[in-house]
Amino acid sequence: MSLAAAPNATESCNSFIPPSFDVNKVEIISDRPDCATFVFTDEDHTLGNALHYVLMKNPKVDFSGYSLPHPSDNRMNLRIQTKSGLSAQDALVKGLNDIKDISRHVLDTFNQAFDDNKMQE
Amino acid sequence: MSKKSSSSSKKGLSDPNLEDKRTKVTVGNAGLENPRGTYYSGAYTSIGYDNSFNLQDFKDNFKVKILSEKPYELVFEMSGIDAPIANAFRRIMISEIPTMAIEKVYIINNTSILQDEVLAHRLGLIPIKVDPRKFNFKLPNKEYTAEDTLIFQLKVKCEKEDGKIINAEALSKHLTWMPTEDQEEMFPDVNDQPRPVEGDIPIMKLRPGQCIDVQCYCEKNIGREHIKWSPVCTASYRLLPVITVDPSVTGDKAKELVNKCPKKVFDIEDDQVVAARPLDCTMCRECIREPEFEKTVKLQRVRDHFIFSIESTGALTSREIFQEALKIFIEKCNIVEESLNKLL
Ligand code: SF4
Repeated sequence: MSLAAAPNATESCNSFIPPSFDVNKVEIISDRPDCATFVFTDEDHTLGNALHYVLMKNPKVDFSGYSLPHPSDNRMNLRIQTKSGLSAQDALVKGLNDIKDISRHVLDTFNQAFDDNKMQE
Repeated sequence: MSKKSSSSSKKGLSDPNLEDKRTKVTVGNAGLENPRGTYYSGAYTSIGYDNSFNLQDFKDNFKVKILSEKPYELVFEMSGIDAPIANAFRRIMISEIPTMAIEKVYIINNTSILQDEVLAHRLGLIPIKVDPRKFNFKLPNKEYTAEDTLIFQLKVKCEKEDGKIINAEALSKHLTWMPTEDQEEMFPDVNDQPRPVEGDIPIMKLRPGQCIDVQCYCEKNIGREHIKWSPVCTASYRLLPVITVDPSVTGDKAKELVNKCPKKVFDIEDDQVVAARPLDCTMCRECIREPEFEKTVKLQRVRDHFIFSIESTGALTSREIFQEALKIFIEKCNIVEESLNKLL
């Protein structure tokens, strides 16, 4: 990734995540709908293992696995194979949504726990 | 959502042995037994247990309990969540929450005994108390702006006056903030202005005649780039210990066991040993070291019950760090989804 090239990131980047200079976060390697390898840029075990976990918990997913091919490479590969007519991409989207649902609920419960704590005092 | 299994399966497995394996990690003298969780949705289908993810079940089971809270140290329990997700929270807290730290140091004068690059490195590691959410990431090859850079000046001269040495130490409190453009309006409250978290961090020692004069530029970034941007000293979790003692242990044997534990986890109630304070257990394994106790004491940890402790460097409170971590996790998923949509 060359930093000298003009960045594609927007001018204002007041997000939580550092601006990325790559066009695509994910690439898909696949020749049939129910199997695909997704190549993530700038991701590691944080998202890889979490996605692997929620995918395995999806009854329509036959196989999921992830690997970091090399520690000095900023890529993460995620393999998904599905059954019952669900496409690998839809499985990934469902997985992402599951993670978001979990995180939102954790955030709400966490905030609630503090409110409860305050009330007790 | 995934189909709800017809048998009310979320009660756990009917086979107590398998249920034990599913929910707990056992600690033995030789090491851990079945440390890996089983996450495959169909793992227990043949015995009528649906192991797939179901949001409602998750919501029913998930619990958080705050154990202790100080502004910069938070300990809480989180149960009903599996390790891959809890571990993602921990990893994000350590390496993906942005903070501000000194990145570029312009050395105008440095006659101290510390080399320029070592001085710059030390300055970088000083935690800066400023809300990073007020700033942007600095884009490479762009000018510094008030929205992405904070400037501190460190100007200390050591001198001898009436036989007394003044300024023998350059401390972090000597870093003075130099507001640029409208930065003063960003921090109207004097107590809220950017400064090092602690004022008494020694940067270097000086002798009369030595001085340093440097300009430090703070930028926003994340811990994955360099650990100086990590908002936590440590963010860690451990699993809740469960210690079960066989009811056959009574009398002198019971007393012996109670005295064995260096953390005083056990109490005797009605001549039976009970683990009254499991949270204090450090898993030192002293209580199962001897062969006779190994048979009667069972040391285990609950697979989905985490005791998190988050110690902040001071830029954000521990509570904010956890909240930010969750928001970042959601944002990560959004970015991947957007990218997928672009490919379609
Ligand atoms: S493992 Fe150590 S701390 Fe825990 S109960 Fe046994 S002796 Fe006590």
